[in-house]
Amino acid sequence: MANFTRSIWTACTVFYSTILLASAPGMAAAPPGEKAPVQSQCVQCHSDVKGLIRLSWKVEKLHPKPAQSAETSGEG
Amino acid sequence: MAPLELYEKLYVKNAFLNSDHGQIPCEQCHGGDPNDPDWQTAHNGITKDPTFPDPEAVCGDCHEEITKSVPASHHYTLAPIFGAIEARASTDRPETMAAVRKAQSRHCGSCHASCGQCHISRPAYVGGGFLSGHQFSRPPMETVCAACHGGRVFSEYTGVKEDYPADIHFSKAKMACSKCHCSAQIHADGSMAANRFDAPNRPSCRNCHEQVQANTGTNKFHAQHADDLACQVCHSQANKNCYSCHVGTDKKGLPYFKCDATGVLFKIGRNPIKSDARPEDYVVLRHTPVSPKLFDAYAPNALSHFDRQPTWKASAPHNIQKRTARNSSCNACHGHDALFLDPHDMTDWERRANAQVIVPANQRPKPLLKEDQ
Repeated sequence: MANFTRSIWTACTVFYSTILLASAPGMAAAPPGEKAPVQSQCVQCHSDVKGLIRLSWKVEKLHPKPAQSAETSGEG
Repeated sequence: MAPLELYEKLYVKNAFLNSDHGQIPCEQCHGGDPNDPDWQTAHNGITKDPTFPDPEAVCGDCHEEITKSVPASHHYTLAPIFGAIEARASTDRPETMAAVRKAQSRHCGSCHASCGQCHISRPAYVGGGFLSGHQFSRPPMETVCAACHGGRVFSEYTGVKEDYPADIHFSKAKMACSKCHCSAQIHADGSMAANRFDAPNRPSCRNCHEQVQANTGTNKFHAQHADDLACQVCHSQANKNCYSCHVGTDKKGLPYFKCDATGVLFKIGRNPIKSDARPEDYVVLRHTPVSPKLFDAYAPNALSHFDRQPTWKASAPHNIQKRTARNSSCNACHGHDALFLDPHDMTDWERRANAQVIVPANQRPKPLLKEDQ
């Protein structure tokens, strides 16, 4: 009975380890001989919310919003 | 409309990257260097809105028909606004016209539309920003149409600002702007139109309310007035009017405008733009903010032909109701002189300009006797 439990335990460990390794970065790469598609810098930056928030702080310091004239009055 | 944070304006969603448009490399439309990891140099030479002024360059390969007509559409060119200004301007003085055109582009031309500024982002006029992570969509009325038409039309249609109920098409049916102002109208070549009401594929109440045109219903008001009154004369409510706008540049070099007053009121006038499409004798009017001193900061007396265009323009207020104060009975309108545009409703310098829309006292409907109703 103990041997049987150990065998099941070993099999499960091997199975889950394989899945974890395969899903790790770099392991789910394209098959040998094929190059993985390279994402452009545009996509990498513009689809990363955290990065965009940090970058927007820098941009707003470098390029403040254009001021509106204080003389504007009434409804447009 | 709440402004967007900068990151919200620029965030690209995976849903866009997996869409058909998302398969096109960014740099193909926007330029820039997709391989440069330095964000500052990578953006050198970038085009924020590659669909203006030439939509064919980036949209034309797939949307050939639309991109041919759309550069001449009224949303693209703002021709009705510029046409009304130039009609009043001193066309015989080239230096004055140059000043007028400069002022127009600086103060009146910032709300033009483009493919990108309706289908991808908010208009630049309100600071831009993707509508939904760069996904292409039918323009949402709250963030696109209202960006430019929010001051009067959108607030009247949705009932958010004034003390009048929202348009029945919105309150009962939640109809979006695009339900009536369809693609065929918005993208149509408007270069041959004398005014915005003359543009191709304009919506008409009668497109849906056919029984009024055929005069087959039992409504005695329609039987009597369907041909001589615009629908809005009986079915719209008071609308917002603006007066005496003038523009200039402040000490810091920033453009400004000053609009002296606004007022919510209702005026009926003679139709100044009668045509096959708008054959009615009487229409609802709205006061435009133009004044003879509009461009004085750029060129004195620039609008020397001010009287060539009325300041009270034919209008189609977007606050329709089935029942209004005017259609409750014949004498709710007949005998009510204050509903009709009178010389006393305007300042001296406007009277000649509005001669064609003022309703003379002897042409206003007199109260009807009970047996005539």
